[in-house]
Amino acid sequence: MEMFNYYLKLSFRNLIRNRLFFILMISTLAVGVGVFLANIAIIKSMSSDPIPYKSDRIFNVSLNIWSLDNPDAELIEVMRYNDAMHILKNDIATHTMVHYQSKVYTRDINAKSLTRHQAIVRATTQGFFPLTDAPFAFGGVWQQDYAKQIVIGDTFNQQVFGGGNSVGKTLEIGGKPFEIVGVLKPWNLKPVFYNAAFDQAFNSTDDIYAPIETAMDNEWAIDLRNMSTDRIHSVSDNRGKNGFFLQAFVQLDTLEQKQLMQQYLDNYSQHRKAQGEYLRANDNRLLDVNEWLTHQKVVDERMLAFALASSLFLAVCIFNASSLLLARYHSARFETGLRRAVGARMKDVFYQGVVESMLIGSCCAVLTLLFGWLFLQISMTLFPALKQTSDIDITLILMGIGIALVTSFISMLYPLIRSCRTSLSTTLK
Amino acid sequence: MLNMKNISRIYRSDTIQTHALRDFNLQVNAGEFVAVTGPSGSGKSTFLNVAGLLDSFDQGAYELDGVNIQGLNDDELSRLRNEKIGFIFQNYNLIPDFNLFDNIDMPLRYRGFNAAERKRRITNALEQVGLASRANYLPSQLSGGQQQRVAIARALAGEPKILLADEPTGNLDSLMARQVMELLHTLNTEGSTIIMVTHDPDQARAVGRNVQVIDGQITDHSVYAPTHDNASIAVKV
Amino acid sequence: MNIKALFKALRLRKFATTLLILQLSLTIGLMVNTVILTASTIEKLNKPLGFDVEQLITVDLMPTSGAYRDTDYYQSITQQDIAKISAIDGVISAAHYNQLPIQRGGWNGNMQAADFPEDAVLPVELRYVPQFYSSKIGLENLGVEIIEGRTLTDADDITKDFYTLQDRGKIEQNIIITQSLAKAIFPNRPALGELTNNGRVVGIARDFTISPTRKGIDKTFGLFGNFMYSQADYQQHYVVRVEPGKLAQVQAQLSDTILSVQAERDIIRVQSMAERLKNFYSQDAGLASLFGMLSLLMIVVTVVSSFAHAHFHVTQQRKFIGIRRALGARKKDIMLYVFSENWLLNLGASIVGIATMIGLNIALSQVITIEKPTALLYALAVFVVFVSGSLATWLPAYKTTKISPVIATKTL
Repeated sequence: MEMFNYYLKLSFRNLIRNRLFFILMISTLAVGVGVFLANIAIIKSMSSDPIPYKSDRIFNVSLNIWSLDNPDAELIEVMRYNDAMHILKNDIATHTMVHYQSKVYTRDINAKSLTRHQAIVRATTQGFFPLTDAPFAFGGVWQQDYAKQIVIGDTFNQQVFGGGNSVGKTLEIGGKPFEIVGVLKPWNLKPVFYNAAFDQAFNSTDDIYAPIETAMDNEWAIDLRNMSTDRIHSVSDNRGKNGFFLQAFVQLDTLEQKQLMQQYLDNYSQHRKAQGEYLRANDNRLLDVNEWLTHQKVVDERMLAFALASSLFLAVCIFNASSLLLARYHSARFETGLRRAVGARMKDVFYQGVVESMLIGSCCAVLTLLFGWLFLQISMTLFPALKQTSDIDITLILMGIGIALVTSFISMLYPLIRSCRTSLSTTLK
Repeated sequence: MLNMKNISRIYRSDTIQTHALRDFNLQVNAGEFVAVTGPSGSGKSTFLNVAGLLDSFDQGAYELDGVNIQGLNDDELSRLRNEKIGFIFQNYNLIPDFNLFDNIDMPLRYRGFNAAERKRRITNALEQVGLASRANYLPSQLSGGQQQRVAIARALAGEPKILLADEPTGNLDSLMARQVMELLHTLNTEGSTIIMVTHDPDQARAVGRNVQVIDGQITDHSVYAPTHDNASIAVKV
Repeated sequence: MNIKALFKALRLRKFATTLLILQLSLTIGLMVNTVILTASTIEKLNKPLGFDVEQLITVDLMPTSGAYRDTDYYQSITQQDIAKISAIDGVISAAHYNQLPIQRGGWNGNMQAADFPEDAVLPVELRYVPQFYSSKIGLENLGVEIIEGRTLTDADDITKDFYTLQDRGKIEQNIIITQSLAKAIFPNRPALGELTNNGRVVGIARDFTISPTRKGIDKTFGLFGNFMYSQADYQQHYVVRVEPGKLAQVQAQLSDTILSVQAERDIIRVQSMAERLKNFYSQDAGLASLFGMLSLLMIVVTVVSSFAHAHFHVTQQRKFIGIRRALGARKKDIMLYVFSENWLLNLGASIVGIATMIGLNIALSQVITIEKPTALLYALAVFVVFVSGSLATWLPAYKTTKISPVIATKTL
């Protein structure tokens, strides 16, 4: 410990004596690590697991039912109303939910102001809440499929009612009243796995949750894919028609359940085939949350491209630091030689170097966090879409410090080895 | 104390082999003050490097204070340098931005002494060379002779078995050189073993024993003060 | 100049030299790829789209009140909006659209000749043809020319039929399709007058860019009908054609004009078509900027390294430089010596740079769309690295001229 303090003192002295040199060296290294860290921050939060404790038990259901394209095309993620109802009504899964996204304009029916708020609607089924573990602050879910009852999210509750227990209050949507039966707590889901299919994985969770049948009956808009043979006149006209717009997720807790579900899906599409529908070559697909997010490519490809570039940049910064340090050790080899002459072992010289590199690493870490934050802000200015994804947490800060220490050490390693190996008899002459 | 037998040191470049030391034999006993002289390129620097464990040798045997050097690894050599040898260089080799105290402190750190012990030794050493009042000075604030005395203090602080001095007065004017030489003589009479490389024949003559290196070999044992019989050394080794 | 001596000096510092060469070559590689990304973004933004981008303002809006579920009410408001917008000073014309050109996704459908055999496979590009519904002036308003047949007329308006007839399948509309689409649906005969699954072709419009992200000929596919789509739950779009120079002035008034007709609407966006295009490519531009920033930083780091390398070299060689000077070398000989070392490194880096440039390009092409590097871009990057390296070397090189030849006679 005493030796450590001695080395630390020497390193401090060294840094202060050559401050211009070390400022240059440390800041280039910190810029490199900072850019890298900002990039990691984005990719890390994009590729994080939104529901880690049960992500391997929640599955997206993609059916082999869309026949328009060539037979070997990819499965599509949406299904018809009737398909969804079949999946919903079988008793295999622990929880099942189907959903579509819509948008409405709404206001507190008792408000004096006539201003309407835009609200993103998740038209879904009761299973949504236990499956996603959406946290209720007040009330609970609707009890009937056709009820004019809704659940609202926390942000929306703040916005319209100023927060608090809004259960029992009424919203006006398209001129009709809807009763609030539940209010959620603040709910952060990153990525929003159930909404990953339409490039919306990093939106916030929804404003209003409503029964699917109610949403359809009230003609709340849908994004529809349909086959040309059918004419669909309105949203509610989708029941029994070939309009594809619903996504399904199931929670399967055991392997047996999963096998049963797969079997059920296969039977289902065989049944549709028997009724004259064309099928693709693909199998019905059950992807768990992480497989599903990978399949949906939620990690922005541009960020991956930039990751490539920023790791090259990091390499360049390490190279730069390393060659600067080599020069530095070269000019300090007299002192090293002297130390060796008076009895310092190679180990001692190396240890001293390690202490110095840790000190450099710590300075670098501080700057890294600063630059990292700065580059994160720059990235968000250039990609406004990233605002939702890039949060700085303690793991990230620790990672930044770790990377800074490690890169400092790497940069220092070769110069240090060289300096340890300096031939003794020449340096002191 | 120091016993070298048939030491060879060969420097190889692409095409040429240079025998810096060839069948080099030397025995130095405790309490001796040996002057090593010789023309440039004779191998006296190589001798000092080998003797000081700064450089290795190719053939022969070297025993320092009863320890056989052959086959020791770098750690063991470092330990030996630290404990048994005190270096005094021609250009002092003080660290310019350490004060005197820290300069002398440096080798003691590697010995693992505690702070009190280090302080005691540093103070003693500085007193020995007459610079006790200037512990906080930087080397640049001292004259050349004073700097060399600091270097000597640094060497003494470790209480080495042997002092190796490489042209200790080479960079000093005659007055300062005399002071340094007087200090070395005093140390010798107090019991230190000293080997000094020099090109000054007067200095060489003034010390107990004079050894000349020519072409990598000891060619002359002019013993001015009869302390030992060289023939008996050869038999002993 | 003694090249051999130079090589020897560099060989003595293998590690530092290798690092610097690697660094310089990575910089070249990244710079070339950055320029490729930037150039392709600029190209996308500047490519002529075939319609009057500069003269158009777009409005995206959505009704917020349930009253708009009454189609008649909705349509009368739309008509009033258009009339009021058209009356603004500087406005040439205005029309409503169910969707706008320059978009991803949208209202698409398959297109085929009415007599297309049932068992034949429809080419993939005909499965998602954008369907535009606007007023009779929809194409003219955008600045797209009809090159064959006629424009749409009031008689072609299917709005009333659509919202009153029970069986919409019976409606046979008249449509205008783009040139390339006509050729794709009817490869072997003139399209004019022919019947498709979406109506009868009465006119053919000159091609213009509708779906910029599509890779093939379907970039310019589009169908136009005369129909006022009035579904309260979906966004509606207006395009306003403005006299040159009045764009900003009109753009500022649009929101208020529309809300003055009826306030229960959410005006989601009012932007010029040029802004729309820019936003459409903002992600590409963002990536190019990020790469640009990185390239710049890399050059800075490279300058630092080049400086350090030369500086280190000069410090190390002080004595030898002094000896050279003592032996008669002029100051500029010494400077040239220092510079030529940097140039030699650059030469090495430019050779390795070919590999890093191509390597990075291939690696990037695994994740994003990127064009191949060209010799010109490569030469440009080498030049930039060369110039910045030389600038960085200047100070250390200049310092050598201060080294006195006297140093040669000193022993230390």
